[in-house]
Amino acid sequence: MPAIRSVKTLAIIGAGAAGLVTAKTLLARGYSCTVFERSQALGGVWAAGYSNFGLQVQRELYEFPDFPHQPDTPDFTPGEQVQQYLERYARRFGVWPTIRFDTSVTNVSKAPDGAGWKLTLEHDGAMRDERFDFVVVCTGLFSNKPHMPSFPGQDNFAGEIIHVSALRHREQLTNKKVAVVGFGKSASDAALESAATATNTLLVFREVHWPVPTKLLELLPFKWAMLNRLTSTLLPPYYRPSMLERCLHSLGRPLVWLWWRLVELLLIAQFGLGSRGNSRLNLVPRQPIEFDAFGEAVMLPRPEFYRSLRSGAIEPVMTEINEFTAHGLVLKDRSQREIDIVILATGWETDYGFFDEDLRRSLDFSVDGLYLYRQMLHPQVEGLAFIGYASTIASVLTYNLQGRWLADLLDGKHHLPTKDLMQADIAAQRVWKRANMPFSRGRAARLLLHMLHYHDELLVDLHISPLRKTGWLAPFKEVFAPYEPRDYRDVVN
Amino acid sequence: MNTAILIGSAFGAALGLIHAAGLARRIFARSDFAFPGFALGRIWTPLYYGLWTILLWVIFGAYVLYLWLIACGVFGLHRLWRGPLPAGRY
Repeated sequence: MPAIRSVKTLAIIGAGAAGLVTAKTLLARGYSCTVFERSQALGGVWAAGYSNFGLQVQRELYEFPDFPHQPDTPDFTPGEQVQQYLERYARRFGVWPTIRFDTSVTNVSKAPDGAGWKLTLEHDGAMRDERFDFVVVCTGLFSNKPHMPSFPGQDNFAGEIIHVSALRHREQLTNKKVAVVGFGKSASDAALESAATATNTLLVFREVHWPVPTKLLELLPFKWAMLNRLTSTLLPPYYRPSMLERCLHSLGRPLVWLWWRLVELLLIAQFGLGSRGNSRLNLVPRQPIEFDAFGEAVMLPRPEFYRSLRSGAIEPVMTEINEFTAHGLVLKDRSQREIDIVILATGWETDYGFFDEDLRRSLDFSVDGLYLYRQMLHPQVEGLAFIGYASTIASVLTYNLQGRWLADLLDGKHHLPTKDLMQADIAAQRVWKRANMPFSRGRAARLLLHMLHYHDELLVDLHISPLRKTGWLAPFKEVFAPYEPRDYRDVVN
Repeated sequence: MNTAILIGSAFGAALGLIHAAGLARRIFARSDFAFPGFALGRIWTPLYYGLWTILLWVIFGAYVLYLWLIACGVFGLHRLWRGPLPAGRY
């Protein structure tokens, strides 16, 4: 890519975790970086979360490998503390002065002479154009624009309809009849907030999904069961499987199948999914776990969520909203509910409105997202990279490795294959994801438990061994011990 | 019982040997890579990881073999009951 060799100035769009890591890595290599952040605070999703939001995972999984959390940071860290952690990181590595807050990128297009990019920026109502050699988009999978489905009759509804992002504190729900729509992490958090103060809480969802426990059988942190190479091998094979994985998923297929059925039994027992409880609703998901685990609604619920569903503190209803009436809802099962406030935990929109029309066409957006080479580059669009458009269990680690990969590419330390090979790789990835993962608007970015496979690929490109465990027990740890950000400390340093 | 364990361990050793050879070959091929693990040099590192691989397969070989046999039975019955799986699905 000729555009890559002469890069000196970079525009980074978004000052969330991905943007901060990218800026830190590239600044350390001597590039001139400017980070554009449309809000007045860095942190992306962490800067403006809903009431009681926080990390889904243990703190050590959401950590910059070279900047550990403070020792007193709690697990499942509250959003405000994550925000402070990101601010400390930006100060520690000198990223802060490069951030232009309150500056929206309204248009990204090729510079008129074809070399580099022209960014149109809006700050304090004033517009101006600036030119950069390279653009890194770090806005994540979704924008902060709520996805608000519309329903028949909602204009006549006398109550309130809000997106979960507008639920800032639980007092908004005090003594109200609340309906929460959705079955993901934000829906479960909102339902718990509601159950604490509302008169009654209805949880409306189309389908149940497998929960991932924070501790298996209340004993073993989930990372030990999910983030090691053994489990990684037992997943439906990656799109470039190893010989061992090919054998295991052909001759050994019954064994793999039995393994996942045993995992399902364990989750049914731990969460009491089949016990029905007060709601008389069977909460055992229809889809097998090894498929469902790659969906949009995969979550590590708070332990009290399933207890509240079984006890009736939250009333689960597996159906859809048919229409709104003046004082409530009519559900698809024809039942009517009196409701004061409806909380839509229905996710966020993707928003790449800042790309001009030509660029959008070249990027070839699909209904299930943007398929990219190594989750970062599109072969037809030179000088543009995406960092943070990859959904994994340890996302901050993934952004760090992507940042290092991009920095090495710009430095000429590794090279891209031909455009045809990159296109073929993207095509193979698309076929694989569509066969093995449920549909979602962000499926193209989904890796989740395949995180290890993806990280291994990046490291091999960088000529770094993907075997990260140390000590004389390293081979044993490679199989059974979980992979965490700290295993990659010397890669990102 | 002892014979069953012996057969399982022999099965594990055989698979372990194949797995170890593949792993050692890959580590050897990447011997110029930055390697944080238990590095013993270009020849001994792949051998060390290979020996561990064989050891783990020998230890767990019996479990793998007999669980696989049980799984074949349960999986077969399940498929008879539920019909064939869609392509690529488990």
